[in-house]
Amino acid sequence: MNIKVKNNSKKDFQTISLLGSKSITIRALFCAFLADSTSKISNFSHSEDVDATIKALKVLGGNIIKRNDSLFVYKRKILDKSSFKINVCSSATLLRFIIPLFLIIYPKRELIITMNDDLCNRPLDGYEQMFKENNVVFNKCGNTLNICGEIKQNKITLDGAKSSQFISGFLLSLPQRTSDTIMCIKSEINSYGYVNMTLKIMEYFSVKANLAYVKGRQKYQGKNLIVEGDFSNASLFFALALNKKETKFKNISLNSLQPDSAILRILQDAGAKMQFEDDTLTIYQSALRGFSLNLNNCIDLSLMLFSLAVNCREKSIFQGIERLKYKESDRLKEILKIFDLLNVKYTYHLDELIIYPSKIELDPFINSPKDHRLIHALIYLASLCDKEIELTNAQYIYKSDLKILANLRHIIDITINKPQVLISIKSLEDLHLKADGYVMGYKKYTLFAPNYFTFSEIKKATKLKKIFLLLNALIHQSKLLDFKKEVDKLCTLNVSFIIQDVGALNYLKSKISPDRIIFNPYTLVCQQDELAAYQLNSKITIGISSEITLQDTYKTLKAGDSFALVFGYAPMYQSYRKLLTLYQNHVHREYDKTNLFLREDTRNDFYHITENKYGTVIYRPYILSYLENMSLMLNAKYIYLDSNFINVKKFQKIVKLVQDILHNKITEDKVLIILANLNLKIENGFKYQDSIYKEKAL
Amino acid sequence: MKRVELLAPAGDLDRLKLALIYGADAVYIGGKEMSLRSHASNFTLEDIDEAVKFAHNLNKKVYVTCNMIMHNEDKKQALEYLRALKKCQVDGIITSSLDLINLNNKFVGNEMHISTQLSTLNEEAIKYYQQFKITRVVLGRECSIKEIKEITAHTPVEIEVFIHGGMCSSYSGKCMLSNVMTLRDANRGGCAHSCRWKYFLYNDQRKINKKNEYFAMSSKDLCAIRYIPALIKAGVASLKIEGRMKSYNYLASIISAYRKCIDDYYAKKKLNFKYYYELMSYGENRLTGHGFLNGEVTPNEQLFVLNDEFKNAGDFIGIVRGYDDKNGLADIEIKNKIVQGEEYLKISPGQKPKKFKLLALYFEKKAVGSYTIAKNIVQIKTHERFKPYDIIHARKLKIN
Repeated sequence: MNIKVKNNSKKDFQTISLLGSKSITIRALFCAFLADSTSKISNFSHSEDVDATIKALKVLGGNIIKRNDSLFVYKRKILDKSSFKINVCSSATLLRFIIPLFLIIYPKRELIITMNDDLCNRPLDGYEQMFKENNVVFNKCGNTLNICGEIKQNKITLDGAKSSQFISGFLLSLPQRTSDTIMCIKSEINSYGYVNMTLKIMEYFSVKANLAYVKGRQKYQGKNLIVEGDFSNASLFFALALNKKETKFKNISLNSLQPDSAILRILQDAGAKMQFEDDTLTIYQSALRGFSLNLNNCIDLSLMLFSLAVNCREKSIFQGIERLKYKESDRLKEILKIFDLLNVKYTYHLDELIIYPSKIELDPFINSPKDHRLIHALIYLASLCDKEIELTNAQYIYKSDLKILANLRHIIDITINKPQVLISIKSLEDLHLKADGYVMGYKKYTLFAPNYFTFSEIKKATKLKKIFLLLNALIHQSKLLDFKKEVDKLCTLNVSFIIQDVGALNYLKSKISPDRIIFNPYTLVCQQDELAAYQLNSKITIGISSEITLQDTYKTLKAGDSFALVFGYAPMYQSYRKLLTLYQNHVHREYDKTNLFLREDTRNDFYHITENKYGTVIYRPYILSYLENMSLMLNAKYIYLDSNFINVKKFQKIVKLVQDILHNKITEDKVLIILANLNLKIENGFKYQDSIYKEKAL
Repeated sequence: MKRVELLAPAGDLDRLKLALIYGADAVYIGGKEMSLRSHASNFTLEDIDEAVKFAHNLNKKVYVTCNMIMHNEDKKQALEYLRALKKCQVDGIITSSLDLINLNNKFVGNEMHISTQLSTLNEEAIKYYQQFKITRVVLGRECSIKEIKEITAHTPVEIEVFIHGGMCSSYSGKCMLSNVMTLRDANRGGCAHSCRWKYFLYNDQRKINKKNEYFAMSSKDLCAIRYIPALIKAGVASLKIEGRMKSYNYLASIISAYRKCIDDYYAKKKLNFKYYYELMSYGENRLTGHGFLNGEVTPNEQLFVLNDEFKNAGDFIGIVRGYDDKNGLADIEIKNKIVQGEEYLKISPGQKPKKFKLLALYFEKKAVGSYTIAKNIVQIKTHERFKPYDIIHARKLKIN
């Protein structure tokens, strides 16, 4: 995903609601998971780490449901399983929290943890001594970690110089032990603020602990919690606000538990003008003097402060930055690389970085590092330039929060490369609808479409708009020659093709340029490497399955040129059998074969069923809609709205709605309300819940 | 000319041995990972190792199906698993994932076959897959004999076709009925066979079905015994029997029938279809048809009756586990009730079924009049000699 960043002097008097803190959300989820009663966590962080945490806790028996903008956490089940498998994705916090939790709530069971490559090399040495002392079996092989054992000793020794997450992980879980625990923390604790945050959140959920002693047999109680704004993310917004006349921030706490709330004091000390009144923080345009800081306790602010230092009046001196090397990337090395690129003057020696005020010049295209905090820094630096800067591969910014770009738009211009919108049409009149391409069924070799057009109608349409022919029949050997003839004829028109058959793909590849081919095998491409495999020798666009989770959809779409249904009745059954005709011949009764539905004996849902000479198609009972998740679909090259079975006027409104979403005229949270008003039957499919199989299916 | 391969399914190591003993040239099995039969008793790597050794000793082959449509969570062990299969020296891997093929080609080097899940129906599709260095394609079950012949004539890649067993009513891999209606993922081994359920057809709100009449989308099972000569002439490399979940009895009877038919064909003997059908009839078959082999299906190939129970399910009495030449006692693993004094059939690899009288029946060395408890071992005394994997059947002998 590429994003374009440009300062916009008009966005001078904005009010911004800060997105919920990830650190608080994850800690609150752990407390709520352990609680005996229901909790509601509102304004939670919409981040991949939080999603991974929810999934992991569900594997361990958690009952967590997303509803509107809140997480409801119900009393967990204790599972009778000998082995558990969880994927912590790229979340170091989750990895370090889940280990002690598991050893305490599921002693002597096996935990298999898998993780993404970027997390593999993050240290786990904070736990090694404890594992040795308790004979916990601990094997790490590549991206997989196996753990089995129990914590027997009543004294836990941890090294405070390692990540504070090791200490927090234990603090959260130890109250669940049947006995009390003496904590022994060697050396000074790094990022003590995060440990304090953990203790305070535990207290909010009615459990007490301190760094010397944790009483066992304590019970967490379910609570309602509104998560305060995330200061790590907010530092970018504050930095941008310093160049705006006046910006107001909501959802902010002056008594924040977050160590990164130190940003406010740091900025004030450097000369930032700000005011806190009636729960609102106002930041005024300010030129900063420079910083002199030890960042050991707010390491996540480092990159933003380094970037701000470039624009200060005086030199800045930073110490306590050694730990930056062990974050998602070697952040120190990466930011200095960026500074070299921008001709920023600095010196680095023995854990001391001195940055001098510098006039920077950015190239119009910058390849983003795979680290969200570095992308924050780049966005701030890009905002200092007069011209528009394009950051390529900027999708890693979503590690901060899936809604961060939408929020950033309040204060600067952010343009995300938009997918092309394709809509299927029922008549040539639909060509007046606003879209980038129009999908038309054809009289031959189209298994299903809202309508089937003739060659001359298609030819006429190509004079007006960009046309995509939907030739989605599977091609049988006996029809292959005829199909080739038909395709040769159609290739003379200025059309692109959407096809389902691999043989059709092979033939078309030899005839036309790959950018005119969309190969959509419907159910077959469910993950990013499968998509890449189909693009091995040719840069065709690949359609992805509609039957996968939102996370998998997002990951798959960004793997290459991709096509995704974002609104419409998805097919759930395709057959060469002409089922309606076969049934008619069986019962010896004629019936009208249009506008037909199936209903299964024990269910209330009705399924559209269509038949033509290429076979039968049965459709999902409700419309699959990704309109409220559009920010995750933006990596697609094409997004597809299928008008099949949808009322013409309602479909027109949907097309307009999509354009409004893509042009930021409407926020995603309003989409559901609009869809509800249209009275369309919408379903989530497998967006939030993966299909089940293996032992779970029995 | 290379002889056609008879390829049989096996749900576990014991049934794999039975399939090979009854005449399959190769078997296909599912591993614990990435296989589409999540509730078949899939093979561990140790099982696969033993299976390959057993098969290779008989100069026969073992293919492993890794044909699930992988989601991200399924990918993690893929490379490790491919390497383990290579170490076991399996003869091929059947897959529907080009990603898996890439991974294999880059790092491992197993032989790879394209699964029927990809619904390959034409020669152009095979040309596309050839760039992935695949050695075999399992065609979609929608191909007619004429089309199969045309395809084999235009490709150097080995072609495998289904000849017997269950058929998806949809194009394989394109059916999400189970996913949508039960959340069970048909493409990852969780198929709930929703196509076999009762449906009603409506025009708007008006029901088209009459009382006690259901709309049916399900297919009869495939039986291609009459098409074996045509398939061999068409140049097909492998003839595949469906059913990794099937019983010993089913495998024994179906494999015996096709083995005999293929051998008779190559021996230029007159083909005795009555005999082959009779052999097959000892298995627990559903209603069968010829699928798409003659072209488009007719109502005769559709399953319009509900509750299509397996036929003869109670006739499979037991399987021979051992035979003591000295005292003439055979150890039988019981599947259904066996009664002293009754007449039964012995089904033996490569032999005509033969009737025998059960002279005496023992359980734990005590004579009993009858015995019913499945999976227990009884001893029987007859005038017959037995070998392990012989099948005892309750049907009356019809073959002369």
